[in-house]
Amino acid sequence: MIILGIFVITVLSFMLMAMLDMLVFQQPYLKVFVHLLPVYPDTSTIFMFLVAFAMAAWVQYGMTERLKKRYGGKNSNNQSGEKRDAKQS
Amino acid sequence: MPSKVNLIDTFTMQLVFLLSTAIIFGSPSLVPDSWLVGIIAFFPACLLIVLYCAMLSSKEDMGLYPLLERAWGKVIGKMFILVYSTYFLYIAARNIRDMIELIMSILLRITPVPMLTTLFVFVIAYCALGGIHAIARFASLILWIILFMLATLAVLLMFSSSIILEQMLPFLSKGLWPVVQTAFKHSIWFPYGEIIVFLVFQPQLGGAKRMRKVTFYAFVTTCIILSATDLIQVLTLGIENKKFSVFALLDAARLINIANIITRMDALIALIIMFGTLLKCAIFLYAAMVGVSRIFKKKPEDYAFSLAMLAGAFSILVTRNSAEHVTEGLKYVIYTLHIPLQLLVPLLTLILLRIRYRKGATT
Amino acid sequence: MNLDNHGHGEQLSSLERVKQFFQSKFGQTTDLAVVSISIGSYEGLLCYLTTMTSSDFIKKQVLKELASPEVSSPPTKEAVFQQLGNNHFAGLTHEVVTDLEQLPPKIVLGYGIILIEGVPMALAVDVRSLNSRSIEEPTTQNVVRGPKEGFTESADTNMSLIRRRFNNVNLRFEKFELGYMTHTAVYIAYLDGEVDTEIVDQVREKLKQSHIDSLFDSGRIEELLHSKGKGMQLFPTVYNSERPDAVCRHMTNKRIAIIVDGSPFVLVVPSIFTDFFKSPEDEYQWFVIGSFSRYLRYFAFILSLTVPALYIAVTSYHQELIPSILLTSIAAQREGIPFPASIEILLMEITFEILREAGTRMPRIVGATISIVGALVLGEAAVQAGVVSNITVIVVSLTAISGFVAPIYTFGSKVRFFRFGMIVLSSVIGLYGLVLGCCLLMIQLTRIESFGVPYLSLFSKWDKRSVT
Repeated sequence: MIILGIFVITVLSFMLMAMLDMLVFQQPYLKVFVHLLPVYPDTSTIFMFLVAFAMAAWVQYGMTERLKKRYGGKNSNNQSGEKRDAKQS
Repeated sequence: MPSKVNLIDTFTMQLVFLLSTAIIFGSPSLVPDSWLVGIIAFFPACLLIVLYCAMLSSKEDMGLYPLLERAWGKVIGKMFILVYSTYFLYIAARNIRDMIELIMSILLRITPVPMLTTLFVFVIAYCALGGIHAIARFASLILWIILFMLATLAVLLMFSSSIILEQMLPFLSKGLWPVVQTAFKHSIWFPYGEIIVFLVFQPQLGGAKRMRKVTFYAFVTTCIILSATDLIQVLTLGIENKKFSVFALLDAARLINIANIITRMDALIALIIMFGTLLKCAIFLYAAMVGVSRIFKKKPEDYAFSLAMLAGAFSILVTRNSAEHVTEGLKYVIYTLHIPLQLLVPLLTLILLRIRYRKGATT
Repeated sequence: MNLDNHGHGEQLSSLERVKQFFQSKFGQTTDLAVVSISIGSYEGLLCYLTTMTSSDFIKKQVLKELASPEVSSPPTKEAVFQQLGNNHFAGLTHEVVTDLEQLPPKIVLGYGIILIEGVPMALAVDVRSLNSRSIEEPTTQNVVRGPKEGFTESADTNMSLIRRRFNNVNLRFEKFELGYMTHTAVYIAYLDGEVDTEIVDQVREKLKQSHIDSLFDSGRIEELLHSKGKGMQLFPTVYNSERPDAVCRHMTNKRIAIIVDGSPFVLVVPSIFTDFFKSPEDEYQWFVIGSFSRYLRYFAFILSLTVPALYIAVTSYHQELIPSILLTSIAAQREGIPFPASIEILLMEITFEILREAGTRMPRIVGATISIVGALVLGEAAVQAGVVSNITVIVVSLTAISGFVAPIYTFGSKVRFFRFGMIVLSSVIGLYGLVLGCCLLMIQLTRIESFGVPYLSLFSKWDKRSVT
């Protein structure tokens, strides 16, 4: 759902910016929209979008928890031990 | 019940929010005597408070998003929530762009923009993660810095004898009417109208009663400080110079020169702007987070970093050059975004709520 | 155990059986004294740990009382205990125990157990008398003016130091035991009526739910008392002090003190940012001087955070911000230095950290060597050899001195880490990075909550009375 949310917001924002550009440049909507897409000449924003979606996916699939479960041997030993004990008692 | 934010913290948060970007651009210099614009815009801006508070109090102080849902029904309400979230994110992106342009022009000329933006955006996300309480406390910290720096600036300008009272003249050369016109066209919507974002957090901020008082005082203080800085700009730069300067306060600060030791105070201004923009964007981002999470059902915190990243990317895409940025900001954003979303939609919502609420009360 | 089948009283009444039981519980430990005594005409037994008491105490307080003439001619065996408890040991903590299993824990805590053949009860008397350091002047928080007493390692002494400052019925001490292996006594102290009961409950809950195996210093539970889930704990939220007057001062401001047996550092929760900049001495002076030195500390804190980063940012990115005269003098000094400013600063900072670490861990007698090596070799010689510039040495020493101004050691030690972060940020993107770093720190400061109390809030109404 988080990825979907981010996607919807991205599309909406693009539409909004295209609308403003249409008013500023007095050009047809579709043309402005295509111009707005970050394909050329400035490609750096593509990476920013990718990072945004990657982070959304990270939260969506709870990667922090998973990594902790798999590799969290020494680091969080004390804390997880505490929690487990607390649950048992 | 969520605990309420401290009254003074709310005030300072709104004050910093209103001041942050407005202070650098000042009132739009479309007319001479632009410092009067701020004062005149204050009065109609107070009507906005009345409107927002009426909207809030009609349904026991819910936030903006639940109110929209109540008024327009599930589907249209949700669409409006999405629109508002996008709107908030878009303003945040514009503010980031403003700040980055400024930084590029004073501090770092060759560092790649995406890098600057990304770093800034992460800080914003981290700020927004703390929730409105932490943001409010952060604001009260920033306010002192901003006020201190502004006071320093004024004093230094005075000592470097850059303030020349005659530059205020000719006073009201074209009469009062153009001033009033600009006030209505621009200053009401920016910065005062942007206060609508605080409607989102009303459950934590204390509802209509508190908002009426706090926001009014915040408006008064903003009006005074903004007019004062505008006046300083006019007095130092002169009417003509101010008209053609994009970052007027910055140009004013450049004039400081005390014994050739204290020079280049414009870096100081850049810092003010950075702090202010950070806070403003954090508030907008948090509002967008709340909106998106209301529709897509997760904690607002889950969206923080991704939405911040989006805002950063949009801040680069939003305009191609400064000229487009300024015309867009002064004209089209106001007519197509600010006026509908700050005035029309709330007004319609209020009317709808009143009708529905009355119906609900009788049945 | 088979013994459980019999009634508890029966076990206690047979001295032989008790001896066997202790043998099986304590094993071969040499400090367990099981002494056969005679109370009047009855045969009795006295058990205690010799390491938890002194023979003097046993002789004067216990054996003398047992030999007194009233005890010698009691009406019945049971009445002996009553008499002993009410008359002879009334001044000591004592209780009558009827369960054999309860005795070993009591003995470990320093109780002496008195048993009489044929009586199904045991009298446990607190005979603990431990050697501890006498009250001395605190070493970490020095003051010129003010009380010179410091806490010691004994929790009893520490509690009495607090109690003697509050002649107030509302002062409460509560005891907890922490640690699977050590069963360390932990006390919380607060002024009933002043303190928020919710916070006390939270503290109790946290102490009860702690699962640690050993506890030798209060630093260990400092971690437990951090509120989790409010961002990383980059700043200490638990105040610690060696000074009773500082702790008591905080207790009057709704705080809770936590005393750990064996640690001279008493903790105070919830603590806020400003606490770490207050020295108890501020209040014993004329208030103007007190607040002046406090603001000086804040200033030094900011200096120690930003000065090296600012230097790097300004010299390598924003030369135009420096007045030109200063710029030329800096440039002249840096002439011939092989490293860029950031590496130079990092080099010196790390050297300083090593020096500091060596200085604190070294035996005191060798300490003088460190300062000679540090000052002469690394300061003078490095500049003369052209490895670092003079101004770098000035910057690093300024930050180093400012870093030590914080009255609480733990606070100063955390600040050092941020300084390195700032240095890295400003060497990458100059002033912009420095400001972002400052923003991050400020956000972090305002985000932390300690037991629901905002860590840094300019308009907090939580402890109104602490406004000085």
